[in-house]
Amino acid sequence: MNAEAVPMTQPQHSMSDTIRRPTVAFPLLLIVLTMAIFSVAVAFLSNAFWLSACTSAVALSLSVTGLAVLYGQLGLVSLCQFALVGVGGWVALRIGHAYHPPFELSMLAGGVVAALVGLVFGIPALRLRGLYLALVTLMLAGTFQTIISAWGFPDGGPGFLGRADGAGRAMLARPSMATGATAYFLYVCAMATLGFVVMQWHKLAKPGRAWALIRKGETVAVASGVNVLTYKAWAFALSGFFAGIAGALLAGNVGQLDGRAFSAFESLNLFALTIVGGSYNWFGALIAGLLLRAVPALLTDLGIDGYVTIGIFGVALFHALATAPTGIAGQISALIARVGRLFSGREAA
Amino acid sequence: MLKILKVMAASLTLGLLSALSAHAAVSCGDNSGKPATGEPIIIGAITGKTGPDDFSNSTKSALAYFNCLNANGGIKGRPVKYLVEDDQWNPETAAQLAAKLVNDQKAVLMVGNSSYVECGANAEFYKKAGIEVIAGVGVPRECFFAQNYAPTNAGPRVSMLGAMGYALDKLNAKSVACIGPNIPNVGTWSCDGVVSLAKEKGFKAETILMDPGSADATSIILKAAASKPDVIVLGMSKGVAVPLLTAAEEQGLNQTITFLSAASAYDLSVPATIGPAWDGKFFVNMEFNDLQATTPDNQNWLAVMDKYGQKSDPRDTFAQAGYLAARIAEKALMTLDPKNITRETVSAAVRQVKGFQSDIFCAPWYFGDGQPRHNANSSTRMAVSEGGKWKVVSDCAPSPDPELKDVRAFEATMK
Repeated sequence: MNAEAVPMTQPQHSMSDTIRRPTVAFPLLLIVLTMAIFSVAVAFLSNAFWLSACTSAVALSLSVTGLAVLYGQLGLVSLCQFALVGVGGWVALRIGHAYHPPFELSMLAGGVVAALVGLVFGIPALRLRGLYLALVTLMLAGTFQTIISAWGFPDGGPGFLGRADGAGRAMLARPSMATGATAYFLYVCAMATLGFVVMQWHKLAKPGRAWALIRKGETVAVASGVNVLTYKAWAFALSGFFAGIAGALLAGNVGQLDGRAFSAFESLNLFALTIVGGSYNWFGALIAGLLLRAVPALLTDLGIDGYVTIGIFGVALFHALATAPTGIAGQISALIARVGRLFSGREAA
Repeated sequence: MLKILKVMAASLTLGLLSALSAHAAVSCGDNSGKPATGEPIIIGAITGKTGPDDFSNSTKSALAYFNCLNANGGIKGRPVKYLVEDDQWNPETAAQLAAKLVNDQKAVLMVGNSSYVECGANAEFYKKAGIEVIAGVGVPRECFFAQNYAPTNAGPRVSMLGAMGYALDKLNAKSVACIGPNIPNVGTWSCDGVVSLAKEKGFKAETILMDPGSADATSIILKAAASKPDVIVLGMSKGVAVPLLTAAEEQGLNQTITFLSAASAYDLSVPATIGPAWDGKFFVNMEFNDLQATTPDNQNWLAVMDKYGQKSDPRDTFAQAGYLAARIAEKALMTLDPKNITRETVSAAVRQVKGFQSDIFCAPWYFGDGQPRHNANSSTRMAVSEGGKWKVVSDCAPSPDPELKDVRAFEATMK
């Protein structure tokens, strides 16, 4: 059964496999099921430290899922995704502290503004590809780094920047239904599941087919009647939206954000780990999120120097590029497929 | 009368201590030389080790003192288990680590914390968890405006205004340019202090904020000199301050303008690095006593570092801060029944700390029970660069920071 679901997520197959179109519902249900098992397992097994680390990891995996669409579906390299996480976080904090709406509203505002900014950041992509797009987006990430290190994140103060000059910094309230650490983790997992499902639906349905055509070549896409501009712009907006939501969820985890954690390097890191995690399978995003936050947490827990993570990520990226372009998720899904074939007997031959 | 007696008693004990230390060299715990073997007392710390700068000297020094304490009877027989975590200058990590130390490891107290990001990230959490923090080095504003967080150092603003006060009183400055990093709650906070003091005392002040990561030192210095100030005060780390001074020297500005700096540029290597052109021209504020002071407690700190620390542990002002934090923690814990050391009893004892004497401090340190914020260390000294060394040029003087009014008012009620 699994074997059927998996090839669909790989773009090469989705092109040639048009004859037998499987139902969209099953893979989506599979996501919900997997995430449910994952979140309950983590919620029961982890202590406060790991719960906090996993909350960040799952929140960040939402931003990875956006990046995975740009890279996995369209082949576009965007190196400013973490800056968009920052934009979403900034807006969520600003709205949250100014009007104290329900958390969901601040989060949505963060997502929408990040989507708009992502759209603007995506404008160069209409003309540029490959290295040039990477350079331009990296510079945008650098711009964000400069701005945010000067502005900082809002913490309950007055004015546009919302910096508190008087008493201590105010914290962004978590959603009223999930104020505790475990409840908030489950909340973030639910949001991530929703995001994964939306993204997977996009890949399996019409937008996914359009993106695949654009990836083949814009002439091909235009000839097939695909509106290249709309679908590219939509991908950027969607990617930005999920980055923004991730930023808001991160802000909700600690109650605030800090400008120093949003350097351009983080965007590079995010992109590298998207590749390592795997940008063709939905759970690649989850793996990348865990790599981003759980691996450093593990090293911290073991008392290993924080710099070691960067080295480990570098080696992992090299490994992924050299031997496993579909990332860890691709390898896992290949394994599942092989096991599936073994069980279904003769089909393997 | 009682006060005089108290002072006499204190000086007598200090004198006795110094006489003792001549023999024992190292003083900590009950000085019995018997290792503590009881159930460990868990104390945590969060520090920014990996990242833009290494802030872990404070916890290294605190660890050395706790090692010394554990080798000398511990807290009435119970050793201290000191858990230090690196927040990597990331507030998210800092929050995770606080959860780990407080919720998972069940720490009863935090000691020696020194981090750029931790105060803002964790102050609320500490308050909710009912745990107190005797921090080593606090830098951003959040470290001095939290209910459960009391650093031993003075902080960049108090230190910068200490330097400013010296410029006003001793150098007769009538105008100033303040150069600070454009980091919210650090540079702006410090230079705002200079501006508000200027309003209060009626001198001219100008603020220049710079990005410490990417700045052209010459253009910054020229911008600061454009208003022809009598003095320029710097709020930068030594890594940024030294290039600024070099650029100023290239422009010949060291001949016409006196430069001062907050304690962030107080490092033994600085005078030799900037050279003889700055002799008598570059003043620095000190949050603690001279690193090489021959006073008893400073000597004890150095001796503890030699015997119980690593050779590679730096002997800088951060280390002084960590040592003091550990000693204050020891003082608080010693008041407790060793069988009844819980987070509640420890927090209560820490809140009661007052009149903590050390010659590394200018004034006795206190926690400030019930205060919404803490800044006990607010009197500082000044030193000047001379012949490749720092020469201490002033006695302890209270920092003229207008924002310290609440702290001064509280101190008045303690007397």
